Amino acid sequence: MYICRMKTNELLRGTLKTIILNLLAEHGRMYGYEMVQKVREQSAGAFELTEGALYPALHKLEAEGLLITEKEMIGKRVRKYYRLTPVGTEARVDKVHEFKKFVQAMQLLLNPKPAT
Amino acid sequence: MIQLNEQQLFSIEKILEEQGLHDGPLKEELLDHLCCQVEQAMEGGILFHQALRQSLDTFQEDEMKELQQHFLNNSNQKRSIMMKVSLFALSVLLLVVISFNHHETLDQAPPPDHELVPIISHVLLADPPTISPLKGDAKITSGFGMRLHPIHKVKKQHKGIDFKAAMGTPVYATSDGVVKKVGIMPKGYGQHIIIEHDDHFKTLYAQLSKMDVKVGDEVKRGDQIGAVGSSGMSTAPHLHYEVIKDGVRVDPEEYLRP
Repeated sequence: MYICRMKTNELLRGTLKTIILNLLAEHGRMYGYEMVQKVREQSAGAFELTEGALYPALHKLEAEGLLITEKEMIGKRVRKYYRLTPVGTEARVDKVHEFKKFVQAMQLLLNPKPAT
Repeated sequence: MIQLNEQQLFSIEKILEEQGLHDGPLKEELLDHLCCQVEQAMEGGILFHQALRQSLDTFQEDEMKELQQHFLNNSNQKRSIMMKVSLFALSVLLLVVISFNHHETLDQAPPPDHELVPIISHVLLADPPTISPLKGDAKITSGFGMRLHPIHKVKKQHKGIDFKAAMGTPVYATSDGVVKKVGIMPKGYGQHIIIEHDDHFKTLYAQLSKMDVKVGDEVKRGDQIGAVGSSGMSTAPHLHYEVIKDGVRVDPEEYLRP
């Protein structure tokens, strides 16, 4: 069913906060299902966020003061939107920077240059 | 843009309720999420029921369980901390009382104060399952751990053990406890019961044909709680039995005897 897709595995889980913060920096205000779709779209179908990972992570970020929420009625149901707080905006810059460093270091590790 | 009507919304709410996800901090978001998924599927031109089935295929099985585990772990952690704090206070009190006594009766043999605390904690906290959920020597047809899934034909972790038994064979609670969940998952556990025994242990009985208890019932070790069936993802009547210790599935074969 998900042969080509990467469901929320260990790797994706570790970067989930960075992904969420970055999404919100780009798109402003978003709700959970929208994030799943955007991540799928922007990763060309490679990343599939699962509800079980996404929502607990969002709640954690909210508790840490990085996100604020607002609720809206969609017909008879409630939709919860998330957006970055100033602290969240700062954290996003750090996280993205940290992750880029990490990717560079991993590339060095996985493709070591032959010793000269 | 398709938007679900009240009736459709209600049936999705009902499903969340059956899964025990109708309260807790994620309730509203899970409902909205599932609704969005169904609406999107309907945009593709299929009917509500088909769309719902499709969404549940990806949502129900592992996601629901994962989320539920998340809730359970959170509430268990809190309870476990409370229990530990009160136990600690109790042991301090006991030690103080005992040491006072000790001073007054210096001539007599010292009381075995160091042995008291573990005994008390054992009585208060530990109530692991100690019998088999089926009487007689029911045959275990599938053990705990990695196995080839009999229906999906892929290697998957088997979270419990399967006993082969005839349809209707009585199923017994393996320790004292309170019924936490009586649920139906046609694509998974089928009719199933979860009993919470103490701060650490829960047991799960699945694929039942009959369930004799309801949520909140107190059960004693050896009480009949249901009967063997084949009500979920299953090829023949059997009992699927899980032991969950501190939120983690452990090998039930270790807990079949005292």
